[in-house]
Amino acid sequence: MIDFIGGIFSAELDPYVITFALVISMVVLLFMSFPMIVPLAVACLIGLLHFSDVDPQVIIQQMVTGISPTALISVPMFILAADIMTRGKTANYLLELIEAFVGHKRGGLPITACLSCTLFGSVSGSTQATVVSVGQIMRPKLLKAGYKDSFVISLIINASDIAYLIPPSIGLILFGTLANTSVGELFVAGIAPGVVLALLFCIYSYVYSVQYKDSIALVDKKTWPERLQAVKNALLPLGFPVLIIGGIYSGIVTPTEAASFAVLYAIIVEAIIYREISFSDIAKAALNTGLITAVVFILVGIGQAFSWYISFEMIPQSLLEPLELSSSSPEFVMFVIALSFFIGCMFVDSIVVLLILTPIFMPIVTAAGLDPVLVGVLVTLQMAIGSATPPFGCDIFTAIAIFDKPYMEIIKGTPPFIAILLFMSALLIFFPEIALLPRDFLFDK
Amino acid sequence: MKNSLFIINRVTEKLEAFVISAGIILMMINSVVNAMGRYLFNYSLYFSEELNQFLIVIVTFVGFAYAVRMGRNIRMTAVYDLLTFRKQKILTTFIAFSSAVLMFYLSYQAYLYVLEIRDINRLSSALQIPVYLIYSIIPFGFFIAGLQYGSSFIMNLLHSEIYLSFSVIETKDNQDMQL
Repeated sequence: MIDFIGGIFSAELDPYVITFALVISMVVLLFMSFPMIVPLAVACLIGLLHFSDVDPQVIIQQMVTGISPTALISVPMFILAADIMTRGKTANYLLELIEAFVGHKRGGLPITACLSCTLFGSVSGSTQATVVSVGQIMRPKLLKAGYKDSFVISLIINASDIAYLIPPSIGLILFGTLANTSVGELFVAGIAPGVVLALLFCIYSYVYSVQYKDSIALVDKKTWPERLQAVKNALLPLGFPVLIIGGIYSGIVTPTEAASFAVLYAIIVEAIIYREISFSDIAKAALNTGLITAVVFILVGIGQAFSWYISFEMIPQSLLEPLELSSSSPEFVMFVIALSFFIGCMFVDSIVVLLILTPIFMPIVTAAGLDPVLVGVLVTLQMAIGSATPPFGCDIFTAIAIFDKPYMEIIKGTPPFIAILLFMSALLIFFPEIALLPRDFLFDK
Repeated sequence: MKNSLFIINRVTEKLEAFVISAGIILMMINSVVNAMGRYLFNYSLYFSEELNQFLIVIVTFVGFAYAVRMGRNIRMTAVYDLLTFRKQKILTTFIAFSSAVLMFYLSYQAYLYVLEIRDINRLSSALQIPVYLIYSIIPFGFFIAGLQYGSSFIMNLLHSEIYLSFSVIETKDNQDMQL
């Protein structure tokens, strides 16, 4: 033990000593509530200056490298499209469409909420935009019908997190860039698991409404003219998934181009056709988009510097070698990866976890012969779970801010959803075809 | 003295906001025109990708400074939220000071990096402009972020509230208030 601590101070180039020093400094600074860039930058600097004696300029050089990949341009573009849509009518129309057909059935309202979250997530790519726009409309309706608030909030948070899996997903774009994997393939592979998850949530919603049927009122059935109107209204918003998923599926557009078309489409629909937003709203949306992009990309940059350092010192290899993961079964390797991401995302913002853990695990993924696309979907699912899971899931905090409810009230209804999400993770590990079949079919693998 | 500081603060804030919005809108126009050109006319802009990369660098580093100003960088406040007001104040003051030091250090490293690529006279491959001109935004962004943390440190020493940055005060329900 004394040798070990001595090793930290004497800058011994031992992978365990370095890892221990970096992890402890990061965890301490994170828990002290430093802005996320600080723990990562300090860990990098400790490694570069104290242990390895490398010119610290490499941090800046790697930050630029980290934010340069072309695929990353799609991140601000999808955020901008989502921001424009959140200011307009899109969420409303999608939701009215689903409500018109299933709203009156038992469990119809929570199923509407769940499917609207999935659909709006597939339009906007942002879980937080989904919590805000769908959540604010659906929650009053569900409460009025007699559903418990804890169930309603948990449903909205968890269903919104399906947006992580369904394209355009920012998590999948970042994973694709970090792991050097095709974003198009990841997008296609994310769809089926996202849909299965949405169905599982719908089943739970139905079971819940049957269980509490005495206290829950049914809403009136919509007439056919009303339904027709709802379909008409939703045609334009439905163009988004057609444009994005259809475009990428058919190979006509790259994800980056799909992102720019999504913005153009959002502007045409919301500003020109619906006249819901003005051009000054677009400027506001651009500023907000730039702000969110910068907060994420500065971490992507510093994450790249961190990842450069640990691979420079071959830390992932020496840490994971004794576990003999490369000779274990693929299921076991995926289990280890999923567990690490799950635990990480419970405590730290999922993007930070992605930035740190992806470079650590990628050598093993390659060595074990796993499909990086499958790993990407599995990892993104863990990010979705982590974002909604106590103690520190970021969507929990979005919900606290929007619904103005105490922390305990927000997390009370989460356990059944977490159980479903973990079941989904197991499904993916044992039946990877859910994600891979559509990909194989489309990309001729 | 204090008034002129406020004016400088406001002017730089507006300038940052303009650069960020303009950067994002340019990025959008550039990507859309390029994609449309490719499909409709079979012609893509030869500089499109490079321009987007430059815009991303500018938006990231100016936006980072702007996020510090707005108190919007991601922090994990779970432990922080449990502390008493006095302890929160001490911790925030300490964080502001040490973050400022780190930002100035990174700004200096970025400055050295920019000097180095100026000396080797690196030109961008498509537009043939000196890369260091664009990358000069990096030391600048870190420097402004450092100034923001530094002024937040001073505001915390001078006032009884908790200042997340020069002009953002933390309130009890985590809905931060901008002055």
